[in-house]
Amino acid sequence: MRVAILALAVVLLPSPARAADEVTASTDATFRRGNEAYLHGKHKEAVDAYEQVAALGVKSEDLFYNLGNAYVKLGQLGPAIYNYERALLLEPGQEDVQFNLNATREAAKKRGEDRLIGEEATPRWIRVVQPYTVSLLSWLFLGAWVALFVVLGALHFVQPGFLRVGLQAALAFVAIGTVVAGGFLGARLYLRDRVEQAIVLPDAVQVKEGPDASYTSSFTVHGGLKVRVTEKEQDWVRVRLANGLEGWMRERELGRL
Amino acid sequence: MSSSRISAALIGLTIALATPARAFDGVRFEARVSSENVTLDQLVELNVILERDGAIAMESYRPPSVPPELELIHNETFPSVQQVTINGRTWVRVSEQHTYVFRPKKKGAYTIGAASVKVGGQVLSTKPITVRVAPAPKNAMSSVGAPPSGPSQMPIAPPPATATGAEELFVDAQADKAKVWLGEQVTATWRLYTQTDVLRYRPLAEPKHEEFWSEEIFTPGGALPWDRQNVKGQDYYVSTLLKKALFPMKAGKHTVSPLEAEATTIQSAFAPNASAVRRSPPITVEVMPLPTAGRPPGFDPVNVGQIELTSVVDRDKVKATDTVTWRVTLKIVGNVKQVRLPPIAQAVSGKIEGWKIFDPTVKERVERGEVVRGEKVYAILLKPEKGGALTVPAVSLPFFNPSTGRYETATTQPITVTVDGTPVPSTATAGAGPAQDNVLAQQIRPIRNRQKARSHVGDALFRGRLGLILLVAPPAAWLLLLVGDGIRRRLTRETARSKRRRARRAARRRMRVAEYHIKASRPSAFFGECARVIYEHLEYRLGQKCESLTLAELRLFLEGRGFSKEAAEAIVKELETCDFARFAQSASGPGEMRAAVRRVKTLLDWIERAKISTDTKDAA
Repeated sequence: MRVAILALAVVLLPSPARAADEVTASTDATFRRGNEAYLHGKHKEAVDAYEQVAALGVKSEDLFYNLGNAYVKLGQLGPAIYNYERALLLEPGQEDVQFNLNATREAAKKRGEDRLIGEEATPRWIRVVQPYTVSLLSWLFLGAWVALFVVLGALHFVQPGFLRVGLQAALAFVAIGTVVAGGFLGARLYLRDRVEQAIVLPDAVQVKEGPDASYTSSFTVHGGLKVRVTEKEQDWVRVRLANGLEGWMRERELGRL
Repeated sequence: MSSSRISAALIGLTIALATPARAFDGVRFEARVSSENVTLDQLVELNVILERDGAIAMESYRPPSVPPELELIHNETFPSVQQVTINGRTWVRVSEQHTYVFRPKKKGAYTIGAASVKVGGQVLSTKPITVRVAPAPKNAMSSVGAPPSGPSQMPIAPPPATATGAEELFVDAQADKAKVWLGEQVTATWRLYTQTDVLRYRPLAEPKHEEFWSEEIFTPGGALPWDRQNVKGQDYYVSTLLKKALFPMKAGKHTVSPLEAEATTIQSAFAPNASAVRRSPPITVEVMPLPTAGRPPGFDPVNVGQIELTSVVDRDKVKATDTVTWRVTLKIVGNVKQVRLPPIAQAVSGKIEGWKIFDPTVKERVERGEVVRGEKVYAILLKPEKGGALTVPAVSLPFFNPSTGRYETATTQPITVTVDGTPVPSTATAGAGPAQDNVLAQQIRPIRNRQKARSHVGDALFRGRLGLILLVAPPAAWLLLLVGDGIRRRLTRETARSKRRRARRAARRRMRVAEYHIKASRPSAFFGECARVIYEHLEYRLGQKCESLTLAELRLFLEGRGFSKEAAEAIVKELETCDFARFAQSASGPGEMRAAVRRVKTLLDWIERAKISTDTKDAA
């Protein structure tokens, strides 16, 4: 009897896997609710639903893209650009996201453009690795990694001869491929996780000389501008523009990429 | 290490570090050729460079000895003086470059001897250089540093009509057509004609053509490619300097300004090089306006050439909430950059019904060959506004074909797309606030109406369990393979210990069998087993079979291999007992057999302990 009660308790108690499934189902339902609201022109409701899903830590290019669209419909271009950038960061080369991002940037320019005279060129390594997704590079690296050990294993069994020479050449080739793919993956992950980029969210923000509202304003930046975060002090962050200009702004005025 | 050794090492290191600086501050004297492998049509340039501190006096210079097969056609010297400051020390660096240009006369390998110089009382020499001369390809001419190559791949144009054959060097300009339609391609080519060797070439002024849209077809990269041509009875070497496709943008008579270039020619071995500036004649083209007769409505004057249209959609069935990408491709022979499709609403025949059309994105590809051609792809996003079978309309594009001199129309076929379900009517402007006058909101591409907020595959792979397995499993499997292989090798290795263990195991097995025979009262089988165990144990110790020997031979053999007389005697005696007992079974009761077991065990112990001689000669 005691055993039966214990077994029943095990079956009835919510397992972690089941809890995760329930969360996923709930986020999917909220995402669908956001889509419905958007399609019925209720863009504020759509934004709320999408933001609710994003707040749960869901990272999806579809979510960010739809959220960007919903912000465009509300006329909030800074957050729209931020979400399009997030979608592209997950998967570069999405034609519709790129199209909407370009159109939104054009519209944002009309509201107030930041003319960055003497703009620095993006570092070469960023230009090289940015077009590739973490997904693609992960597959490439792990594929090469597995192939490397398969060839190593095969070499163990093959007797000296042409086949062995061929395998040795393949080993060298695969080893180089693994190193290159690993380097690319590392650089891509570094770019995504360590290089702190952010988008200005409000239409216009006064950038201060120090981390407090009492400091004098150095210059103004406009919604959608991409900046680098170099330092943080309480709820203020030091930002660096592409042309080297630096100043402080409130953290909440930025969307971290 | 003792202190004296450390000091010696430090001194050595100091000398080693100081040596390159001394060499840098002193004299550099070396010889280099433009290429060690040339063909008969190429020239060889030898540079002898002397670089020295101005404080060191130069007393004499001797040029290198050159075989007669290399004809010296040019020689010059470039002296230079430079003030140099390194690590706070200022000094004057004097350098002298002797340049020799040779023309090979015959194929073969020729060695240019050492040049020498006496500097600061010391004689320095360069290293001799061997130049290999290969036969020249047909129609080729001399050019310093040019790779051994055949004639240019450019088609040879007819010689210029204005040339007299008396000019040594001139630039010609020709157009393939003198009279063209507006927008039709005319190919202009500028060529350099020369009767002497050209050392260097430099364009001074590019031709100007403001009335034309141009696409560059050819410019020489590096050395000029040469062909041979006869002009008015004179042999010339000809090289194409520039080739352009020009598309006139206005009717009338237009002139392309001349190309101006400077060519440095080699005169003789001891005369300086001659530089000459040459200017091509201008090119005049008569551009005819497009005919008005037969001009179709909606014709755009930029659409001149040969144009084909294709229309495809990425799917023929679509959900009501999804979109279709419609691609209209223009294959163009003509000015690809200028040819264009009008706004899609004008390009289609009839009205577009049931679709919301988004602005197209355009991609183009241009092939710049003798004839400029390429394609333009218009990708247009269509969003269904009603369900059922919808038609993607036919597109037509009127254009002027200059090869026929007539207007033509390229047309596609309509495509049917089935829309599954009924789309939600667009209420984009219904929202209050900024969206009401939000033009951008009308332009953007629609949302992705998916059922799930899809998580990213790459992240899931990299951070997930599968990624970890793929990362860890292969090296783990490989290590397992190595360890397993090591264990297998160790197990299969034959050691004295493993042999002994195996022999003991076999002996124990046989003795167990012998015990069964005692219980079963089978003396014959028992003694047979006893004899076998002794023979097998002997074989393990001695490394050879002994069953074929007679007992007398066995005794001698055992003694010869190091067994004591007593042991050899006991073994032979026991084997005799076994033989006897096998054939006189009635004499062997269980007690006798158990005694035999004890004796055999003792013998096995003796066999194991015996000090065996490895020298088998004694035994033999």
